[in-house]
Amino acid sequence: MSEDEIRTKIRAFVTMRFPAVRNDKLTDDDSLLDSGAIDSLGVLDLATFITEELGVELGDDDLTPENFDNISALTRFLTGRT
Amino acid sequence: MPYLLHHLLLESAAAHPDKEAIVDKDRRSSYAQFAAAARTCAATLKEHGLVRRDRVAIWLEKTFEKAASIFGISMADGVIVPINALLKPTQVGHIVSDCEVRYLITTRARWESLREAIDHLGSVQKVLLVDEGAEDPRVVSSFYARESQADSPSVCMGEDLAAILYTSGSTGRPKGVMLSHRNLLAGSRIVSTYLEISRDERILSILPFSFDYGLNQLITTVQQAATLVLLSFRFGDEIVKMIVKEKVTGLAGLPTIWAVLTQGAPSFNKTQLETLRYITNSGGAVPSETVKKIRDAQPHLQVFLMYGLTEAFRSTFLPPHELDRRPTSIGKAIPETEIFLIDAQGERCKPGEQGILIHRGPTVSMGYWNRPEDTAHALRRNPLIGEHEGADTVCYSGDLVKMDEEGFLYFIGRNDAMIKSSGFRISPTEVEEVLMATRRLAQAAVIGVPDPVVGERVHAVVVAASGTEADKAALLEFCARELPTHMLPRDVEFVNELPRSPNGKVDYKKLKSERSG
Repeated sequence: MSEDEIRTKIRAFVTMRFPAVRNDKLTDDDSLLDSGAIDSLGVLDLATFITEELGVELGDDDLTPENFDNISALTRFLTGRT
Repeated sequence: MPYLLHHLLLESAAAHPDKEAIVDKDRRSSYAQFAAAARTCAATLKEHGLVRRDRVAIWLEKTFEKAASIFGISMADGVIVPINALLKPTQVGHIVSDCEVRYLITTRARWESLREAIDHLGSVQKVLLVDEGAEDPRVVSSFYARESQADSPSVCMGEDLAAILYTSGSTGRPKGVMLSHRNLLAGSRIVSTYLEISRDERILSILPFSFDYGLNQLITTVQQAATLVLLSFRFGDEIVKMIVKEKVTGLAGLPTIWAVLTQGAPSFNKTQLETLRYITNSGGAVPSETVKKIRDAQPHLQVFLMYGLTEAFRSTFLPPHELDRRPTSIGKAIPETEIFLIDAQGERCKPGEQGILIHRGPTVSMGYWNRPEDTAHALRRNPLIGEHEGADTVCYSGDLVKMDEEGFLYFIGRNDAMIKSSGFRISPTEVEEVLMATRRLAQAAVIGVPDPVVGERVHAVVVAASGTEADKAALLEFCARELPTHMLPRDVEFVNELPRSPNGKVDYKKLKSERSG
Protein backbone atom coordinates (compact mmCIF):
# COMPACT_ATOMS: atom_id res chain seq x y z
CA MET A 1 0.00 0.00 0.00
CA SER A 2 1.31 3.45 -0.84
CA GLU A 3 1.73 6.16 1.75
CA ASP A 4 -1.26 8.03 0.33
CA GLU A 5 -3.48 4.95 0.45
CA ILE A 6 -2.53 4.32 4.07
CA ARG A 7 -3.19 7.95 5.00
CA THR A 8 -6.60 7.85 3.31
CA LYS A 9 -7.59 4.62 5.05
CA ILE A 10 -6.47 5.80 8.47
CA ARG A 11 -8.20 9.13 8.04
CA ALA A 12 -11.42 7.40 6.95
CA PHE A 13 -11.38 5.06 9.92
CA VAL A 14 -10.48 7.74 12.46
CA THR A 15 -13.15 10.19 11.30
CA MET A 16 -15.79 7.45 11.17
CA ARG A 17 -14.96 5.90 14.55
CA PHE A 18 -14.15 9.13 16.41
CA PRO A 19 -16.61 11.82 15.30
CA ALA A 20 -14.96 14.38 17.57
CA VAL A 21 -12.01 14.44 15.16
CA ARG A 22 -14.23 15.91 12.44
CA ASN A 23 -15.84 18.44 14.75
CA ASP A 24 -12.57 19.78 15.97
CA LYS A 25 -11.40 19.92 12.32
CA LEU A 26 -8.23 18.13 13.26
CA THR A 27 -5.53 18.17 10.62
CA ASP A 28 -3.26 15.20 9.98
CA ASP A 29 -0.71 16.69 12.35
CA ASP A 30 -3.02 17.58 15.25
CA SER A 31 -2.78 15.32 18.27
CA LEU A 32 -5.56 12.77 18.53
CA LEU A 33 -4.50 11.88 22.05
CA ASP A 34 -4.10 15.32 23.62
CA SER A 35 -7.37 16.58 22.17
CA GLY A 36 -9.17 13.75 23.99
CA ALA A 37 -10.66 12.58 20.68
CA ILE A 38 -9.24 9.11 21.28
CA ASP A 39 -9.25 7.50 24.72
CA SER A 40 -7.67 4.21 25.83
CA LEU A 41 -10.46 2.18 24.25
CA GLY A 42 -10.08 4.18 21.06
CA VAL A 43 -6.39 3.26 20.97
CA LEU A 44 -7.39 -0.38 21.29
CA ASP A 45 -9.87 -0.03 18.40
CA LEU A 46 -7.28 1.71 16.28
CA ALA A 47 -4.81 -1.12 16.99
CA THR A 48 -7.44 -3.69 15.99
CA PHE A 49 -8.12 -1.77 12.77
CA ILE A 50 -4.40 -1.69 11.92
CA THR A 51 -4.07 -5.43 12.49
CA GLU A 52 -7.29 -6.59 10.88
CA GLU A 53 -7.90 -4.10 8.08
CA LEU A 54 -4.37 -3.10 7.15
CA GLY A 55 -2.87 -6.50 7.95
CA VAL A 56 0.01 -5.11 10.02
CA GLU A 57 1.10 -7.21 13.00
CA LEU A 58 1.88 -4.85 15.86
CA GLY A 59 5.06 -5.58 17.76
CA ASP A 60 5.60 -5.06 21.47
CA ASP A 61 7.15 -1.66 21.01
CA ASP A 62 4.70 -0.32 18.45
CA LEU A 63 1.92 0.78 20.79
CA THR A 64 3.36 4.13 21.75
CA PRO A 65 2.11 7.71 21.92
CA GLU A 66 4.75 8.63 19.29
CA ASN A 67 3.27 6.23 16.72
CA PHE A 68 -0.38 6.90 17.54
CA ASP A 69 -0.39 10.61 18.25
CA ASN A 70 -1.73 11.88 14.92
CA ILE A 71 -2.64 10.74 11.42
CA SER A 72 0.76 11.69 9.97
CA ALA A 73 2.60 9.76 12.68
CA LEU A 74 0.40 6.71 12.10
CA THR A 75 1.00 6.94 8.35
CA ARG A 76 4.78 7.22 8.78
CA PHE A 77 4.83 4.30 11.17
CA LEU A 78 2.77 2.06 8.89
CA THR A 79 4.30 2.97 5.54
CA GLY A 80 6.37 0.10 4.25
CA ARG A 81 4.75 -2.39 6.60
CA THR A 82 1.49 -3.09 4.77
CA MET B 1 -13.00 8.82 66.67
CA PRO B 2 -13.21 10.38 63.23
CA TYR B 3 -16.80 10.90 62.09
CA LEU B 4 -16.41 13.44 59.28
CA LEU B 5 -14.58 12.90 56.01
CA HIS B 6 -11.79 15.42 56.69
CA HIS B 7 -11.14 13.96 60.14
CA LEU B 8 -9.44 11.11 58.29
CA LEU B 9 -6.99 13.52 56.68
CA LEU B 10 -6.34 15.50 59.86
CA GLU B 11 -5.66 12.29 61.80
CA SER B 12 -3.25 10.93 59.19
CA ALA B 13 -1.51 14.30 58.91
CA ALA B 14 -1.11 14.50 62.69
CA ALA B 15 0.21 10.95 63.03
CA HIS B 16 2.30 10.77 59.82
CA PRO B 17 3.01 14.33 58.64
CA ASP B 18 5.94 13.37 56.40
CA LYS B 19 4.44 10.25 54.87
CA GLU B 20 3.92 10.50 51.11
CA ALA B 21 0.19 11.01 50.48
CA ILE B 22 -0.34 11.89 46.81
CA VAL B 23 1.88 11.40 43.78
CA ASP B 24 0.69 13.61 40.91
CA LYS B 25 3.25 13.28 38.09
CA ASP B 26 6.41 14.97 39.43
CA ARG B 27 4.68 16.44 42.45
CA ARG B 28 4.94 14.40 45.63
CA SER B 29 2.92 15.66 48.59
CA SER B 30 3.18 14.62 52.20
CA TYR B 31 0.19 14.31 54.49
CA ALA B 32 1.19 17.63 56.10
CA GLN B 33 1.15 19.33 52.69
CA PHE B 34 -2.08 17.61 51.71
CA ALA B 35 -3.83 18.79 54.89
CA ALA B 36 -2.42 22.31 54.43
CA ALA B 37 -3.86 22.48 50.92
CA ALA B 38 -7.25 21.25 52.14
CA ARG B 39 -7.18 23.99 54.81
CA THR B 40 -6.45 26.61 52.15
CA CYS B 41 -9.44 25.40 50.15
CA ALA B 42 -11.70 25.41 53.23
CA ALA B 43 -10.57 28.88 54.29
CA THR B 44 -11.14 30.29 50.79
CA LEU B 45 -14.64 28.84 50.65
CA LYS B 46 -15.54 30.17 54.09
CA GLU B 47 -14.09 33.60 53.35
CA HIS B 48 -16.40 33.77 50.36
CA GLY B 49 -19.45 33.00 52.41
CA LEU B 50 -19.93 29.23 52.26
CA VAL B 51 -22.48 28.05 54.78
CA ARG B 52 -23.15 24.48 55.94
CA ARG B 53 -24.65 22.28 53.22
CA ASP B 54 -23.73 24.62 50.33
CA ARG B 55 -22.86 22.51 47.27
CA VAL B 56 -19.36 22.89 45.89
CA ALA B 57 -18.67 21.32 42.49
CA ILE B 58 -15.19 20.29 41.40
CA TRP B 59 -14.65 20.08 37.64
CA LEU B 60 -10.97 19.32 37.21
CA GLU B 61 -8.70 16.70 35.74
CA LYS B 62 -7.55 14.29 38.43
CA THR B 63 -4.82 16.23 40.20
CA PHE B 64 -3.49 16.92 43.69
CA GLU B 65 -5.76 19.99 43.79
CA LYS B 66 -8.79 17.86 43.07
CA ALA B 67 -7.96 15.55 45.97
CA ALA B 68 -7.27 18.49 48.29
CA SER B 69 -10.55 20.16 47.28
CA ILE B 70 -12.53 17.06 48.24
CA PHE B 71 -11.23 17.23 51.81
CA GLY B 72 -11.26 21.04 51.89
CA ILE B 73 -14.97 21.19 51.08
CA SER B 74 -15.65 18.77 53.91
CA MET B 75 -13.59 20.95 56.30
CA ALA B 76 -15.65 23.97 55.29
CA ASP B 77 -18.92 22.07 56.01
CA GLY B 78 -19.85 22.12 52.33
CA VAL B 79 -21.16 19.31 50.14
CA ILE B 80 -18.72 17.84 47.59
CA VAL B 81 -20.03 17.51 44.03
CA PRO B 82 -17.22 15.91 42.00
CA ILE B 83 -17.89 16.16 38.27
CA ASN B 84 -16.27 13.86 35.73
CA ALA B 85 -13.66 15.81 33.76
CA LEU B 86 -14.83 14.14 30.53
CA LEU B 87 -18.34 15.61 30.64
CA LYS B 88 -19.36 18.29 28.17
CA PRO B 89 -20.64 21.72 29.27
CA THR B 90 -24.30 20.70 28.76
CA GLN B 91 -23.99 17.82 31.22
CA VAL B 92 -22.00 19.87 33.70
CA GLY B 93 -24.71 22.53 33.42
CA HIS B 94 -27.33 19.93 34.30
CA ILE B 95 -25.49 18.99 37.50
CA VAL B 96 -24.83 22.62 38.47
CA SER B 97 -28.49 23.47 38.03
CA ASP B 98 -29.91 20.24 39.49
CA CYS B 99 -28.28 20.57 42.92
CA GLU B 100 -27.90 24.37 42.78
CA VAL B 101 -24.15 24.47 43.01
CA ARG B 102 -22.99 27.59 44.89
CA TYR B 103 -19.22 27.29 44.37
CA LEU B 104 -17.32 25.85 41.47
CA ILE B 105 -13.67 24.76 41.60
CA THR B 106 -12.16 24.49 38.14
CA THR B 107 -9.57 25.85 35.69
CA ARG B 108 -9.79 29.00 33.61
CA ALA B 109 -10.20 27.08 30.34
CA ARG B 110 -12.95 24.87 31.73
CA TRP B 111 -14.75 27.87 33.26
CA GLU B 112 -14.68 29.68 29.94
CA SER B 113 -16.12 26.66 28.14
CA LEU B 114 -18.87 26.40 30.72
CA ARG B 115 -19.97 30.02 31.14
CA GLU B 116 -22.53 29.95 28.39
CA ALA B 117 -24.17 26.82 29.82
CA ILE B 118 -24.45 28.10 33.39
CA ASP B 119 -24.48 31.91 33.25
CA HIS B 120 -28.27 32.05 33.30
CA LEU B 121 -28.54 29.79 36.36
CA GLY B 122 -27.46 32.33 38.93
CA SER B 123 -26.86 29.78 41.68
CA VAL B 124 -23.07 29.91 41.32
CA GLN B 125 -21.76 32.62 43.67
CA LYS B 126 -18.03 32.14 43.24
CA VAL B 127 -15.74 30.32 40.86
CA LEU B 128 -12.46 29.23 42.42
CA LEU B 129 -9.74 28.70 39.84
CA VAL B 130 -6.63 26.63 40.42
CA ASP B 131 -4.89 28.79 37.79
CA GLU B 132 -4.93 32.47 36.78
CA GLY B 133 -8.36 33.74 35.83
CA ALA B 134 -9.90 36.52 33.81
CA GLU B 135 -11.28 39.77 35.25
CA ASP B 136 -14.63 38.75 36.66
CA PRO B 137 -15.98 39.66 40.10
CA ARG B 138 -17.16 36.10 40.59
CA VAL B 139 -13.73 34.58 40.01
CA VAL B 140 -11.06 33.89 42.64
CA SER B 141 -7.74 33.14 40.90
CA SER B 142 -4.99 30.67 41.85
CA PHE B 143 -6.50 30.09 45.27
CA TYR B 144 -4.20 27.22 46.16
CA ALA B 145 -1.24 29.60 46.04
CA ARG B 146 -2.46 31.26 49.26
CA GLU B 147 -1.07 30.54 52.71
CA SER B 148 -2.86 27.77 54.52
CA GLN B 149 -5.04 28.68 57.47
CA ALA B 150 -5.68 27.27 60.92
CA ASP B 151 -8.53 24.79 61.26
CA SER B 152 -11.84 26.25 62.21
CA PRO B 153 -14.11 23.77 63.97
CA SER B 154 -16.68 21.97 61.90
CA VAL B 155 -20.33 22.14 62.85
CA CYS B 156 -21.34 19.08 60.80
CA MET B 157 -22.12 15.64 62.14
CA GLY B 158 -21.85 12.17 60.64
CA GLU B 159 -25.42 12.19 59.37
CA ASP B 160 -24.87 15.38 57.37
CA LEU B 161 -24.75 15.28 53.61
CA ALA B 162 -21.08 15.02 52.55
CA ALA B 163 -21.15 14.39 48.81
CA ILE B 164 -23.45 14.10 45.80
CA LEU B 165 -22.37 11.70 43.05
CA TYR B 166 -24.21 11.91 39.75
CA THR B 167 -25.20 8.71 38.03
CA SER B 168 -27.77 7.71 35.44
CA GLY B 169 -30.86 5.55 35.71
CA SER B 170 -33.05 3.91 33.11
CA THR B 171 -34.68 7.19 32.06
CA GLY B 172 -34.10 10.92 32.21
CA ARG B 173 -31.10 13.00 33.13
CA PRO B 174 -28.47 11.92 35.71
CA LYS B 175 -29.54 11.92 39.34
CA GLY B 176 -27.46 12.94 42.33
CA VAL B 177 -26.91 10.18 44.88
CA MET B 178 -26.54 11.74 48.33
CA LEU B 179 -23.90 10.31 50.66
CA SER B 180 -23.44 11.18 54.31
CA HIS B 181 -20.09 11.44 56.06
CA ARG B 182 -21.04 8.21 57.80
CA ASN B 183 -21.62 6.50 54.42
CA LEU B 184 -18.19 7.55 53.16
CA LEU B 185 -16.38 6.51 56.33
CA ALA B 186 -18.18 3.15 56.42
CA GLY B 187 -17.16 2.55 52.79
CA SER B 188 -13.48 3.10 53.48
CA ARG B 189 -13.58 1.11 56.74
CA ILE B 190 -15.23 -1.85 54.99
CA VAL B 191 -12.92 -1.80 51.97
CA SER B 192 -9.74 -1.52 54.03
CA THR B 193 -10.96 -4.51 56.05
CA TYR B 194 -11.57 -6.94 53.21
CA LEU B 195 -8.74 -5.76 50.96
CA GLU B 196 -6.46 -5.65 54.04
CA ILE B 197 -5.19 -2.19 53.18
CA SER B 198 -2.39 -0.92 55.39
CA ARG B 199 -0.16 2.12 55.64
CA ASP B 200 2.43 0.51 53.34
CA GLU B 201 0.00 0.39 50.46
CA ARG B 202 0.71 2.37 47.27
CA ILE B 203 -2.53 2.48 45.35
CA LEU B 204 -2.78 3.42 41.68
CA SER B 205 -5.71 5.72 40.95
CA ILE B 206 -6.90 5.58 37.35
CA LEU B 207 -10.63 5.90 38.07
CA PRO B 208 -12.28 9.30 38.40
CA PHE B 209 -13.13 10.70 41.86
CA SER B 210 -16.64 11.45 40.54
CA PHE B 211 -17.22 7.70 40.58
CA ASP B 212 -17.83 6.10 44.02
CA TYR B 213 -15.24 3.41 43.26
CA GLY B 214 -12.53 5.99 42.50
CA LEU B 215 -13.55 8.28 45.37
CA ASN B 216 -13.39 5.37 47.80
CA GLN B 217 -9.77 4.66 46.76
CA LEU B 218 -8.83 8.19 47.76
CA ILE B 219 -10.68 8.03 51.08
CA THR B 220 -9.36 4.57 51.97
CA THR B 221 -5.81 5.69 51.18
CA VAL B 222 -6.15 8.72 53.45
CA GLN B 223 -7.79 6.71 56.23
CA GLN B 224 -4.84 4.31 56.24
CA ALA B 225 -2.21 7.04 55.70
CA ALA B 226 -1.14 5.13 52.61
CA THR B 227 -0.06 6.62 49.24
CA LEU B 228 -2.21 7.32 46.18
CA VAL B 229 -0.53 7.55 42.76
CA LEU B 230 -2.62 9.48 40.23
CA LEU B 231 -2.55 8.47 36.58
CA SER B 232 -4.39 9.39 33.39
CA PHE B 233 -3.50 7.01 30.60
CA ARG B 234 -4.16 6.22 26.93
CA PHE B 235 -1.97 3.14 26.58
CA GLY B 236 -2.01 0.04 28.77
CA ASP B 237 1.78 0.12 28.88
CA GLU B 238 1.60 3.42 30.76
CA ILE B 239 -0.19 1.60 33.60
CA VAL B 240 2.47 -1.12 33.67
CA LYS B 241 5.26 1.49 33.66
CA MET B 242 3.68 3.39 36.52
CA ILE B 243 3.20 0.23 38.61
CA VAL B 244 6.92 -0.50 38.25
CA LYS B 245 8.11 3.08 38.75
CA GLU B 246 5.99 3.82 41.81
CA LYS B 247 6.08 0.31 43.31
CA VAL B 248 2.32 0.16 43.22
CA THR B 249 0.67 -2.48 45.43
CA GLY B 250 -3.01 -2.17 44.51
CA LEU B 251 -4.92 -1.42 41.30
CA ALA B 252 -8.66 -0.91 40.90
CA GLY B 253 -10.17 -1.10 37.44
CA LEU B 254 -13.17 -1.66 35.22
CA PRO B 255 -13.68 -4.38 32.60
CA THR B 256 -12.45 -2.00 29.89
CA ILE B 257 -9.17 -1.44 31.73
CA TRP B 258 -8.51 -5.19 31.89
CA ALA B 259 -9.24 -5.38 28.15
CA VAL B 260 -6.72 -2.62 27.50
CA LEU B 261 -4.11 -4.32 29.70
CA THR B 262 -4.53 -7.82 28.29
CA GLN B 263 -5.07 -6.86 24.62
CA GLY B 264 -3.21 -3.61 24.16
CA ALA B 265 -0.28 -3.68 26.60
CA PRO B 266 2.52 -6.02 25.49
CA SER B 267 4.55 -5.17 28.58
CA PHE B 268 1.81 -6.50 30.88
CA ASN B 269 2.70 -10.07 29.85
CA LYS B 270 6.43 -9.52 29.93
CA THR B 271 6.86 -7.60 33.18
CA GLN B 272 6.68 -9.34 36.52
CA LEU B 273 4.76 -6.84 38.61
CA GLU B 274 6.33 -7.89 41.88
CA THR B 275 5.07 -5.09 44.08
CA LEU B 276 1.47 -5.42 42.93
CA ARG B 277 -0.45 -7.42 45.54
CA TYR B 278 -4.04 -7.21 44.35
CA ILE B 279 -6.38 -5.94 41.66
CA THR B 280 -10.08 -5.25 42.03
CA ASN B 281 -12.80 -5.12 39.41
CA SER B 282 -16.17 -3.40 39.61
CA GLY B 283 -18.49 -1.63 37.19
CA GLY B 284 -19.50 -4.77 35.26
CA ALA B 285 -18.44 -8.38 34.80
CA VAL B 286 -14.96 -9.18 33.45
CA PRO B 287 -15.08 -12.00 30.89
CA SER B 288 -13.61 -15.18 32.45
CA GLU B 289 -11.17 -15.37 29.55
CA THR B 290 -9.75 -11.97 30.49
CA VAL B 291 -9.42 -13.01 34.15
CA LYS B 292 -7.48 -16.05 32.96
CA LYS B 293 -5.14 -13.89 30.86
CA ILE B 294 -4.49 -11.63 33.84
CA ARG B 295 -3.70 -14.56 36.10
CA ASP B 296 -1.51 -16.23 33.48
CA ALA B 297 0.54 -13.06 33.13
CA GLN B 298 0.69 -12.27 36.85
CA PRO B 299 0.05 -15.49 38.78
CA HIS B 300 0.82 -14.00 42.19
CA LEU B 301 -2.00 -11.44 42.02
CA GLN B 302 -5.02 -11.58 44.28
CA VAL B 303 -8.00 -10.87 42.03
CA PHE B 304 -11.10 -9.43 43.72
CA LEU B 305 -14.28 -9.42 41.63
CA MET B 306 -16.81 -7.05 43.14
CA TYR B 307 -20.28 -5.70 42.56
CA GLY B 308 -21.86 -2.46 43.64
CA LEU B 309 -24.13 0.42 42.75
CA THR B 310 -23.68 4.06 43.68
CA GLU B 311 -26.92 4.08 45.72
CA ALA B 312 -25.32 1.65 48.21
CA PHE B 313 -21.66 2.01 47.16
CA ARG B 314 -20.48 -1.63 47.25
CA SER B 315 -22.49 -4.77 47.92
CA THR B 316 -20.43 -7.90 47.31
CA PHE B 317 -16.96 -9.25 46.60
CA LEU B 318 -15.66 -12.69 45.70
CA PRO B 319 -12.75 -13.75 47.93
CA PRO B 320 -9.76 -14.45 45.59
CA HIS B 321 -9.47 -18.09 46.72
CA GLU B 322 -13.00 -18.75 45.42
CA LEU B 323 -12.19 -17.54 41.91
CA ASP B 324 -11.25 -20.96 40.52
CA ARG B 325 -14.37 -22.61 41.84
CA ARG B 326 -16.88 -19.87 40.93
CA PRO B 327 -15.36 -17.67 38.22
CA THR B 328 -18.69 -16.08 37.32
CA SER B 329 -19.87 -15.26 40.84
CA ILE B 330 -20.04 -11.73 42.26
CA GLY B 331 -19.39 -13.27 45.67
CA LYS B 332 -21.03 -12.52 48.98
CA ALA B 333 -21.86 -9.45 51.05
CA ILE B 334 -19.05 -7.09 52.04
CA PRO B 335 -18.37 -6.75 55.79
CA GLU B 336 -21.06 -5.10 57.99
CA THR B 337 -23.60 -5.74 55.23
CA GLU B 338 -26.43 -8.10 54.44
CA ILE B 339 -27.59 -8.97 50.92
CA PHE B 340 -30.83 -10.76 50.15
CA LEU B 341 -33.04 -11.39 47.14
CA ILE B 342 -36.72 -10.55 46.75
CA ASP B 343 -38.97 -12.01 44.05
CA ALA B 344 -41.76 -10.26 42.12
CA GLN B 345 -44.24 -11.06 44.93
CA GLY B 346 -41.99 -9.43 47.50
CA GLU B 347 -40.99 -12.78 49.02
CA ARG B 348 -37.45 -13.73 49.94
CA CYS B 349 -35.95 -15.97 47.22
CA LYS B 350 -34.79 -19.51 47.86
CA PRO B 351 -31.40 -20.69 46.53
CA GLY B 352 -31.48 -20.96 42.74
CA GLU B 353 -34.41 -18.54 42.31
CA GLN B 354 -33.92 -15.20 40.57
CA GLY B 355 -34.73 -12.02 42.40
CA ILE B 356 -33.85 -8.36 42.88
CA LEU B 357 -30.75 -7.76 44.97
CA ILE B 358 -31.50 -5.86 48.19
CA HIS B 359 -28.66 -4.25 50.11
CA ARG B 360 -28.78 -3.59 53.86
CA GLY B 361 -25.94 -1.91 55.72
CA PRO B 362 -24.09 1.30 56.59
CA THR B 363 -23.34 2.30 52.99
CA VAL B 364 -27.00 2.64 51.96
CA SER B 365 -27.09 6.23 50.66
CA MET B 366 -29.47 9.04 51.60
CA GLY B 367 -31.32 8.82 48.27
CA TYR B 368 -31.39 11.12 45.25
CA TRP B 369 -31.06 14.88 45.54
CA ASN B 370 -34.44 16.54 45.08
CA ARG B 371 -36.13 13.40 43.69
CA PRO B 372 -38.42 12.05 46.38
CA GLU B 373 -40.23 9.63 44.05
CA ASP B 374 -37.05 8.03 42.75
CA THR B 375 -35.71 7.88 46.29
CA ALA B 376 -38.88 6.14 47.52
CA HIS B 377 -38.45 3.61 44.74
CA ALA B 378 -34.79 2.80 45.49
CA LEU B 379 -34.77 3.12 49.26
CA ARG B 380 -37.53 1.29 51.12
CA ARG B 381 -38.27 -0.15 54.51
CA ASN B 382 -36.68 -3.53 55.11
CA PRO B 383 -39.37 -5.97 53.94
CA LEU B 384 -38.12 -8.74 56.24
CA ILE B 385 -38.48 -6.84 59.50
CA GLY B 386 -41.74 -5.36 60.81
CA GLU B 387 -41.97 -1.61 61.18
CA HIS B 388 -42.79 -2.06 64.88
CA GLU B 389 -39.61 -4.07 65.41
CA GLY B 390 -37.24 -1.52 63.96
CA ALA B 391 -37.20 -2.10 60.19
CA ASP B 392 -34.32 -0.13 58.70
CA THR B 393 -33.97 1.39 55.22
CA VAL B 394 -32.58 -0.90 52.54
CA CYS B 395 -31.56 -0.30 48.92
CA TYR B 396 -33.44 -1.98 46.05
CA SER B 397 -30.78 -2.36 43.37
CA GLY B 398 -33.00 -3.12 40.39
CA ASP B 399 -30.42 -5.79 39.46
CA LEU B 400 -31.61 -9.33 38.89
CA VAL B 401 -29.39 -11.93 40.58
CA LYS B 402 -29.54 -15.47 41.93
CA MET B 403 -27.93 -17.16 44.90
CA ASP B 404 -26.53 -20.70 45.04
CA GLU B 405 -26.90 -23.17 47.93
CA GLU B 406 -23.77 -21.83 49.59
CA GLY B 407 -24.92 -18.23 49.44
CA PHE B 408 -22.74 -17.07 46.50
CA LEU B 409 -24.42 -14.58 44.19
CA TYR B 410 -24.58 -14.45 40.40
CA PHE B 411 -25.53 -11.41 38.34
CA ILE B 412 -28.25 -12.07 35.73
CA GLY B 413 -29.14 -8.66 34.30
CA ARG B 414 -31.37 -5.66 34.73
CA ASN B 415 -35.05 -5.48 34.20
CA ASP B 416 -35.08 -1.98 32.77
CA ALA B 417 -33.57 -0.07 29.83
CA MET B 418 -30.50 1.29 31.61
CA ILE B 419 -27.26 0.74 29.66
CA LYS B 420 -24.02 -0.17 31.38
CA SER B 421 -21.02 0.62 29.21
CA SER B 422 -17.35 0.93 30.22
CA GLY B 423 -18.47 1.08 33.86
CA PHE B 424 -20.77 4.06 33.17
CA ARG B 425 -24.51 3.93 33.67
CA ILE B 426 -26.18 5.52 30.66
CA SER B 427 -29.81 6.47 30.41
CA PRO B 428 -31.15 5.88 26.86
CA THR B 429 -33.23 9.06 27.21
CA GLU B 430 -30.19 11.28 27.51
CA VAL B 431 -28.68 10.01 24.26
CA GLU B 432 -32.06 10.00 22.49
CA GLU B 433 -32.61 13.66 23.42
CA VAL B 434 -29.35 14.62 21.76
CA LEU B 435 -30.16 12.56 18.65
CA MET B 436 -33.57 14.21 18.38
CA ALA B 437 -31.99 17.65 18.81
CA THR B 438 -30.31 17.16 15.42
CA ARG B 439 -33.80 17.76 13.91
CA ARG B 440 -33.04 15.07 11.36
CA LEU B 441 -35.03 12.30 13.01
CA ALA B 442 -38.66 11.39 13.52
CA GLN B 443 -37.85 8.89 16.28
CA ALA B 444 -34.85 7.52 18.12
CA ALA B 445 -34.39 4.62 20.52
CA VAL B 446 -31.07 3.86 22.19
CA ILE B 447 -30.22 0.43 23.53
CA GLY B 448 -27.22 -1.45 24.87
CA VAL B 449 -26.03 -4.44 22.85
CA PRO B 450 -23.64 -7.00 24.37
CA ASP B 451 -19.96 -6.26 23.78
CA PRO B 452 -16.98 -8.26 25.03
CA VAL B 453 -14.92 -5.19 25.88
CA VAL B 454 -17.28 -2.49 27.14
CA GLY B 455 -20.08 -4.74 28.46
CA GLU B 456 -22.81 -3.04 26.49
CA ARG B 457 -22.27 -0.96 23.36
CA VAL B 458 -24.46 2.11 22.87
CA HIS B 459 -26.54 1.46 19.75
CA ALA B 460 -29.06 3.86 18.24
CA VAL B 461 -32.05 2.73 16.18
CA VAL B 462 -33.58 5.71 14.41
CA VAL B 463 -36.22 6.76 11.91
CA ALA B 464 -35.24 9.64 9.62
CA ALA B 465 -37.55 12.66 9.54
CA SER B 466 -39.55 12.83 6.31
CA GLY B 467 -37.63 14.58 3.58
CA THR B 468 -34.37 14.18 5.50
CA GLU B 469 -31.49 12.15 4.26
CA ALA B 470 -30.31 9.25 6.43
CA ASP B 471 -26.92 10.73 7.27
CA LYS B 472 -25.19 8.73 9.98
CA ALA B 473 -22.02 10.81 9.90
CA ALA B 474 -23.90 14.06 10.46
CA LEU B 475 -25.77 12.58 13.43
CA LEU B 476 -22.60 11.31 15.06
CA GLU B 477 -20.82 14.57 14.48
CA PHE B 478 -23.56 16.42 16.32
CA CYS B 479 -23.59 13.85 19.14
CA ALA B 480 -19.82 14.12 19.59
CA ARG B 481 -20.23 17.84 20.31
CA GLU B 482 -22.87 17.26 22.97
CA LEU B 483 -21.88 13.97 24.57
CA PRO B 484 -18.73 12.53 26.14
CA THR B 485 -17.12 9.63 24.28
CA HIS B 486 -18.56 6.87 26.45
CA MET B 487 -22.12 7.99 25.63
CA LEU B 488 -21.65 8.26 21.87
CA PRO B 489 -23.58 5.65 19.85
CA ARG B 490 -21.12 3.21 18.35
CA ASP B 491 -23.57 2.59 15.57
CA VAL B 492 -26.64 4.30 14.15
CA GLU B 493 -29.12 2.07 12.40
CA PHE B 494 -31.85 3.54 10.21
CA VAL B 495 -35.20 1.73 10.17
CA ASN B 496 -38.63 2.58 8.75
CA GLU B 497 -40.36 2.35 12.09
CA LEU B 498 -39.67 1.37 15.68
CA PRO B 499 -41.42 -1.68 17.14
CA ARG B 500 -44.18 -0.81 19.61
CA SER B 501 -45.61 -2.71 22.54
CA PRO B 502 -49.42 -3.12 22.70
CA ASN B 503 -49.73 0.06 24.78
CA GLY B 504 -47.94 2.05 22.08
CA LYS B 505 -44.59 2.50 23.80
CA VAL B 506 -41.31 1.73 22.04
CA ASP B 507 -40.55 -1.94 22.61
CA TYR B 508 -36.98 -1.72 23.95
CA LYS B 509 -36.92 -5.39 24.90
CA LYS B 510 -37.65 -6.43 21.33
CA LEU B 511 -35.13 -3.96 19.89
CA LYS B 512 -32.51 -5.29 22.22
CA SER B 513 -33.21 -9.01 21.85
CA GLU B 514 -33.19 -8.72 18.03
CA ARG B 515 -29.70 -7.24 18.22
CA SER B 516 -28.22 -9.41 20.93
CA GLY B 517 -27.77 -12.56 18.86
